[in-house]
Parts: sequence; structure tokens; C-alpha cells
Amino acid sequence: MTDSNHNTDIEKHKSIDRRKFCIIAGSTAVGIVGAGSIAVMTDFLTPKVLREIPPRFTAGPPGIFQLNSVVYNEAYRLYIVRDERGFFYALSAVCTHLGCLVNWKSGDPSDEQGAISCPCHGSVYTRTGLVVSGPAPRPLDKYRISLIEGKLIVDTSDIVDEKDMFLKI
Amino acid sequence: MRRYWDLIQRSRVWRSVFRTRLPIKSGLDRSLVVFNSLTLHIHPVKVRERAIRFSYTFYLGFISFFLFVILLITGVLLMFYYQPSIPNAYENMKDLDYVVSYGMFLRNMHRWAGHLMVIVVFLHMLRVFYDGAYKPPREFNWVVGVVLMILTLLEGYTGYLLPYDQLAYWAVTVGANIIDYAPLIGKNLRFLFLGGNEIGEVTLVRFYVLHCIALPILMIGLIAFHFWRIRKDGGLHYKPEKRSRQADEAPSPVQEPSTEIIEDASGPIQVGKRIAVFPHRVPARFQTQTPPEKLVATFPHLIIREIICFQLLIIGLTVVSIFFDAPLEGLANPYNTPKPSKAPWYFLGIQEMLHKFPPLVSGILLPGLAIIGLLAVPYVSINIRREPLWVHRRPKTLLILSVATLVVAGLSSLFHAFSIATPTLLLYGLAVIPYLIRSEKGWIGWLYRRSLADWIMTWFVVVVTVLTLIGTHFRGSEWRWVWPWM
Repeated sequence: MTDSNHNTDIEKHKSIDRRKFCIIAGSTAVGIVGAGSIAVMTDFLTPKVLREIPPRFTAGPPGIFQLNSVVYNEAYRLYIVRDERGFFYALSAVCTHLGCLVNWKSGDPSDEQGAISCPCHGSVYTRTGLVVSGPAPRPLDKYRISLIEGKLIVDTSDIVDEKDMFLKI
Repeated sequence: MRRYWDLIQRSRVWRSVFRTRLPIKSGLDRSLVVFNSLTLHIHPVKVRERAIRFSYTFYLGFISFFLFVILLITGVLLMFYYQPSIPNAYENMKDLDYVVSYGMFLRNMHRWAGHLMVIVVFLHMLRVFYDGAYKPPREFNWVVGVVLMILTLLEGYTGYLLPYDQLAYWAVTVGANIIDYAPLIGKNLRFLFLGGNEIGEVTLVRFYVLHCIALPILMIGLIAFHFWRIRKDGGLHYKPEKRSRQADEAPSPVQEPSTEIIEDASGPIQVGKRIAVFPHRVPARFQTQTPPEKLVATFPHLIIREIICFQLLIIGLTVVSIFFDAPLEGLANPYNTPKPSKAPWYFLGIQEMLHKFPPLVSGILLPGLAIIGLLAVPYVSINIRREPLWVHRRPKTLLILSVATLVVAGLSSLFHAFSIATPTLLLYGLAVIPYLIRSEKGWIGWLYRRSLADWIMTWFVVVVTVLTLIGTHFRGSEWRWVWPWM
């Protein structure tokens, strides 16, 4: 009789019993392990080594580029442009809409409006990569181009804005 | 000859494998054929005659499943000749087409069955929707069905890259870049999906594993659940006898009769219904009176229909695969985008929208809303009641419908998406006719009986079809409008 009284007293005071504790501890453990396995799996599936080409490359001495010319670099998917003032800039050929490769309508960069167009969804850009029409959300990427030891170096990991895009020689 | 056959059948080995004794004579034998077989016992022993009519379901569910089986078999065979590496993958395609015996045929069959499965699964969904076969207690099976449809599209998409030709490479490029626009996680998701920044050898292996192992296993599991759930939800869906107009307007909760009529060799007999097999957890307000249904034995009535259906499908696919070859363009070239470059045809509706709206809207928001909308179908009460649109509060309904139409048509016109605005206005016109002309006869009466759910689904289907057709046949280089016959 006293025993049962004692038990009910304990039950009244404790807010958590053994069963409840085990359920909470167990499901928390399962939850942590579950979340952990998702994290580990995501990490496993994320490639650590990319066998992609290095971002910097040498485009050659400036002398090989004529005034007012466009040279397409296939491996890096970019245009190296030398305008009529003799300035250089490197323009990505990957459309900012959905990643198709854009086409320069003719080799002549003086055609300001609609010099570049995308074959997939019809975006049109100016020769400096500004959007003229079509679904493209932003201008084409411009990469930093610099002159180091007499050679033009293009760094595709360094995307620059309008005011830094030109290499003035 | 006959004697040896009998001898084999009476042997202990035969009887240990096949428990059904031939020939099948009685109704009991017919039941036991289904009951004792692992593959056949997916079916109940008896089915409602009305539910297995071709004119009711067009057997679209069967056909989807049969196509899945055909794709598994042809796919496993193709795997024997396929290496997911560059340029071997493409060279393997050339080998299949020109060197391997029947390689071209198998590749054709796999490709056409894949395309057909996308169409048939979509039609299956439409049929289930228009017949209201998603209503309680079948809500969750509808959800599983929608997930299976998405997996079917993913199978198609991952399979598209495997030949590694120009068509594959650029279709997958366009598709993968859509993921980029997903807010917050887009960039990381794309990197994980492609296994790098660009499509390459890693991507090919990833798509290969997804296409051949991960997605099929998931689909087999879900298909099994889909079938099992049909049984648990009361068997194949059927439409009861047409009720009177009065009952239509005020459905009264009436208990189903506890007996059904079974057609046996000796004629129709009444038997008690097994409550354990048909648990009814349908809320009373959704229950309607159903007269007793005529049942037929699964074997042979349903089995023979499945066999005929399967055979016609195989014959059709074989003929198509003999005469039409699966396309194969040049080896994938990441440095040259072909004109035009298009996604797989079932994504061309999205690509057409990408031409009109910002990518976040057309690539993520609208498809996402469509999927959420489809998943929510059985949980929205207007989809369950399915009353004719103009039954209650006619002026208010007209106002809401008009405003909604104006918003959709106006917004899409703002983006020059007249391919969305025009069907929207046309369907609005059709929906309003029964409001203007009160008639319950003829085609106006038929329009009158359409529910809001019917109109919304029809709008969705028409817009998707129009966008896909335009994207497939009316778009050329630089996504400019072209006439397919010019």
C-alpha cells in the first residue's frame, strides 16, 4: 500500500518517465545519424578534384592581334577583341541565359548593335556584351586581361566589370 | 505426346512448381490460378466488369507499366554494349547502329518506348483526373502517381545524355542551366548534379548510374506501392451507374450494400462482401450510393485483356522501331552549339517559356507551381465535389473567373506570351457560354456540367500542349518562329 503511494508520488513529480526518455533519446540519435548520412553522402558526391582546364592562359603577344579584330578561343570559350582604339578585352562566349555558345555575326567588331547572338533562345548582345534583346538576364562575362612580360594573360576565374574590362595599350 | 505431357504434369517436380492443376474447369480453379501465383496475385480474384472496360480506362496504366518492363529489358540489353566514358559512349552508339546485330533495333525500341512512356503516363494522369479517380480514399495513390510521372521525366532526361552526341550534350546543358536559377541552392545543386562546372566524364557516369540503377530501383518500389494501394483502396476505380439528377445535386450518405453479385459458371450469385479487403474510410459526405456491381473472374477476363494489350503494344513498337531510327548526331562538341539547340521535347514547353519570361519564373517558379498544384489535387475540396461551375452564386463566380482570366492573360501578354494568353481567353469563352445561355441539353448542357476542376485542368493541358508544340515544331535557329512545312 505504501509502495503504490510512493510510486504515484514519483509519477506526480517527474515530468519525464523512462519510456519517454528512451523515445526522445532514441529518435534524436536516429535523427542525428540520418542527417549525418545525408551530409556525408552529399560530401561524397561532391567532386574534390576537377579535371578541368586551368583558369589562366597565355593568349600570345599583343602584336599578333590586328586592330579591329575578333579572335575566338575555342578551349576557353571566349572572344579576345581588339577594338579600333587598340584596346583589348576578353568576352565570354557562354550565353548568360542558359549556357549556349553565342556567335559573333561577322569577324568585324565595329558592328555595335546586335554583334553577338545566341542560337538557343535568341538573346542579342552588343560587341561589349551588353544585352540588346532576348531573354538573357545580364551582360556576357568579361575576364581580366593583362600584359605580363610582353604577353597577354587572360584569367577566366577573374570576372571584371565594365570599367576594368579594357586593357589599354 | 499427350501422355508424356500428362506424365510431366503429374510428376512431383512439376507439382512442386505449379500448384494449379490444368485444365481449369470451375470458378474455384479460376480463383486459384490468381491466388497461387506470385505475379498474378497482384490482382484480386474477381474484378468489377465495369472497371476493366477498355472504353473506361483505355488501359493507360497497364500500358505505362508494360512500357516500363520493355524499357527495363531493352535497357539491360543495351547496357552490355555501353561504357559511360568519352568518347567510348558515342562510339558504342555507332557500334550499336552499324555493327551489333539488332543493336539499332534495340536502341530504337528503347528510345521510342521511352518517349511513348512520357506521353502515356501523362494521359494516364489526365484520365484519372477527369474520372475523379483520385477522390478519397485514393488521394495518396494520386500523389505517388505524380511522383512516378516526375521520375519518368527524370529517366528520360538522364537517358538523353547517354549517347553523348551533339543533341544530347546541348539538351542537357540547357536543362542543367535551368537548375542554376533555383534560389539559394541552384549553383551547388548544379555542381553536384553535373559533378563539376561543365558536362564531362563525371557527369556521364552520374547520369548513367541514375538512369540505370538509382531511378529504376526507386520506380520499381513506387510502382509496387502504387499497385498494392489500388487493392487497399478498394480495387480498380470504376464509375457507378449514372445517378438521377436529384441524387447528383444532393449526394446523400448511404451505406453500400453488403453483398455483391458474382458471375460464376452457374450464373450470377450473391455473396457477402469481405469488409477486411475493402475498408471504407471515406468521409460520409463523399460517400454516394452505388448499386451492386457485376463481377467477373480475373482469370481469364482481365488477364486476356492485359495479354492482348501487351501484344498490340509490342507489335506497334516493333513496327515503329523497324521503320524509324533513333537520331544520332555528331560526337558532342562543347565548343560548338548547334542551331537550334533544344532540350528533350517534353521540356520544350519550359524552353518556350524561357524565351518569354525570366528564367526564375519559367524554369523554377511555374514548373514548381504546376507540380505542387498536381500534388494538391486530391486534397482540395472543389476537386472532390466536382459540382458544375455555375450551380451556386453565379454572378460572384463570373467575377472571380473573369478577374483570374484577365490577370493570367494580361500578365502573359505583357511578356508577349500570346501562346498562353490566347488559349486562356478561348477557354474562358467556352466556360462562360453556359452562363449566358441556360440550357441543359446538347453541347451547352455538356459544358454546363463541367466543374471548375475540369476547366482548370483543361486549361493546364491546353497551355502545356500549345507551348510544347510551338517549342518542338515552330522554333528554329535563335528560337525564331519557323513554319514546320517550310
